Amino acid sequence: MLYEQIMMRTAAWFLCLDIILNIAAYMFTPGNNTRHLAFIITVFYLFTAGPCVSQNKYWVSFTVKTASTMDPDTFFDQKTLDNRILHGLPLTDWYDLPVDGGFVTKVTQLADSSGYTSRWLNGIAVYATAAEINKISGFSFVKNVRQMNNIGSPAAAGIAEDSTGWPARVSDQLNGMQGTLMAAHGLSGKGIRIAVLDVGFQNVDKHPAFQYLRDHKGIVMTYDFLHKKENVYNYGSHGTAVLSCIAGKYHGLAMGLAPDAEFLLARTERAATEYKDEEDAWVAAAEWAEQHGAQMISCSLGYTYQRYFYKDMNGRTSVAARGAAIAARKGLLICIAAGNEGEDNWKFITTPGDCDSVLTVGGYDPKTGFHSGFSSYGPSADGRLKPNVIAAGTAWVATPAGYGVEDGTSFATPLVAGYAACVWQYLKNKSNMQILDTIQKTGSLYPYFDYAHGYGIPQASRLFGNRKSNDTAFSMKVDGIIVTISIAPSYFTDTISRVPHLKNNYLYAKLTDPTGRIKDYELIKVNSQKFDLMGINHYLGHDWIKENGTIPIKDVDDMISKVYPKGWTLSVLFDGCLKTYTF
Amino acid sequence: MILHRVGAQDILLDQKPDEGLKNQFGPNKAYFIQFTMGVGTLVGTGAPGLSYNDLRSNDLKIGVKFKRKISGLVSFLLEPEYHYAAYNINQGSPKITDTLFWASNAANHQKERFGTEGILLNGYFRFNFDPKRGNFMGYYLDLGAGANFVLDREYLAIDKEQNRSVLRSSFSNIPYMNTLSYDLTAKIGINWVAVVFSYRLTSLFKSEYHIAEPAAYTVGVEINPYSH
Repeated sequence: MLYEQIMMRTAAWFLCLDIILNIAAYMFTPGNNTRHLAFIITVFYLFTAGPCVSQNKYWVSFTVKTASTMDPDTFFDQKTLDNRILHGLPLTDWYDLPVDGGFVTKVTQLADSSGYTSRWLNGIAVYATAAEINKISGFSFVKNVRQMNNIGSPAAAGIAEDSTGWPARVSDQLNGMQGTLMAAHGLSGKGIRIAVLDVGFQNVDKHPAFQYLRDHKGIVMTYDFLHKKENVYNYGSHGTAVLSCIAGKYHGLAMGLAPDAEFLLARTERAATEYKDEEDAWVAAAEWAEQHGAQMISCSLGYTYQRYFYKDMNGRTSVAARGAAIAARKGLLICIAAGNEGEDNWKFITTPGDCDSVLTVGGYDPKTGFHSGFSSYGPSADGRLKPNVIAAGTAWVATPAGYGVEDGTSFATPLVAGYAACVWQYLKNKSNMQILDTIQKTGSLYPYFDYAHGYGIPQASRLFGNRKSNDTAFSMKVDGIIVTISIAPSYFTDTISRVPHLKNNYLYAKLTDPTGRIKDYELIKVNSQKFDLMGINHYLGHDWIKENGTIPIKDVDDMISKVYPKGWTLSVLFDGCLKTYTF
Repeated sequence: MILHRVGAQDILLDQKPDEGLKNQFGPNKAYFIQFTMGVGTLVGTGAPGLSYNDLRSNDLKIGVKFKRKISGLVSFLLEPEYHYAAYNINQGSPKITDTLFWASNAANHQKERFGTEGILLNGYFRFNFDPKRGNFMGYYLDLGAGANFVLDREYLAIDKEQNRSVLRSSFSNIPYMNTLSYDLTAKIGINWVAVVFSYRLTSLFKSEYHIAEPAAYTVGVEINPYSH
């Protein structure tokens, strides 16, 4: 690679200069300055040559798989086979065939060390120098080699603990999704096997929150993909908190919606750093989960600036996103956290939440009922709707020493995973994508969506057919450039009291271009019965202060036509009533 | 904006997705600005005639880095900094000190140093060892040069008298130090932290005063915090 050639030549020059100066310093002893210069040059040589001869990490993809058959009965769990039959998938396909052992041997003999192999991606992760990877690239069975980064940096701090005991908080996180209706219909995730990928599951084997899970042998299998051993009950407690949001119990009170599901627990992440092999471990864990009968994956992990730019959040770039896409094609329903970057420079969703076929979950604040500031925004880099839905971004969770309240889309995701497990238990014969579509359609805002809330909070009542139509909540009148909203008088007869997911008279509005991409979206709290949505009248006689300068109000018509071009659509949602207008 | 505060309505959320994409500012994007602070110490032995205490001859730099990315491999940085340097003189050794002001040029003091204060302007190229990184500073090697515009030049001598009082003699704008110097700089950095090597190309003192120069090399550490 070019940069390595440049650095090699730079290192070579430093080496020559270093040798000359050291010889001169020794033979002629011209003075301390020369010795010092030689020392500094030596240091620089080491630093420049180091990276040239040091290893980088590469993903080596192979051209073919030489195996043509495999016995699905001995390789897969029966649940895997059942899941494939449900989805009309073949019991085995190309993705399931093993990676050629001979290819792996030849590559690993040349590379310094190797990481995971992937059946789905037909390749292997290796650590190799530039010279080694050039030789590996020369093999006829190597399709391509892609360099990956291996940067370590501190990840988010660990979760704190709060010993305040508020049983009501436990109900809050489920009430938003009308969780009691699931229980009333006898739905608790029974028969659904969920794989949870996380940092670690500290104390899950002892914590009282999981006593019910242990009693009915709900944890089917565990594996630590970083240390390659079965014990996952050490290292991190993030997974403990996440699992409690699916299947934990607080003094008998359910903390999640799927306490009767089965679980595969996989450790794929280190808490304190971000190394690229964690994405390899993610894919390996997904393959392992699918092999052992998982129908769902719940993953509250995401990767961002250490390796990618936002333009890479297109569902096709990161290793984890590509693995997630294959997992979805194999019939798995994958719930992924949107990320907590909403207030950071990154702002947008993380990967593998950018994958097309996964249910990306954002967070809302249970106190206000709308988007939590930290919850990452969509869309994906290629313009797809993300996140898909939202759930409580503040949750009551199990911690290693007890219970506490935590913030994050990490906890919204397993809440939705529990909901999804109940939906799939209810709609047994549906495919994973049909379940995903169903969950979206139960969203509190459906058919409206935006890049902060997705389709809103899944509502169990809508699963059972209780969707109330509400065409009379407001009217919208467009007169030239003025859009007048008139809220139905009944909303102003008393103080605000709406359904739990819609508090304080929230009006959602968005502008989409003809391709469907949202260009501008807002959420406002309505306090008056009739108002001008665009606020034009307010500015009559004044100047319109816009980001790019000041526009005299007499030019608003021209400004509106430029800012809201022909063909753009205004959509307004208020309490389940949706109205649209195309300019 | 499609909605504006018209008194009766409260805007709770207002997003323009495409505006977030236009951002060209970031640690591995087209432009970046970050705060920098560094300390260093002299390394080596100066010219004979005056013994400098390397470990107590330090410099402090506080400034801003302006970064322009050229490619994943190469960036250019401009770094204006406030620079203070102190050159402490060992006592008890033969020395030639401030002969303009002292009657005896071999006087020993409690503390004696030269100091400069000014603006340092560095320009350098950055070579990243991890060009395929995300929006992250990464591992890098900076090579460049700088000019030090010395605004104040001080000679300081501190003496303790027999009655325990302290006599502090300070001379500013001393005429025998140069007001402009140049140096070569190299830095090896990982994200927030860098090790800095400097080599002073020009003399600290004007040649006609025959004052021994301190060592030309400085080694230090620099902190460059930023957030994502």
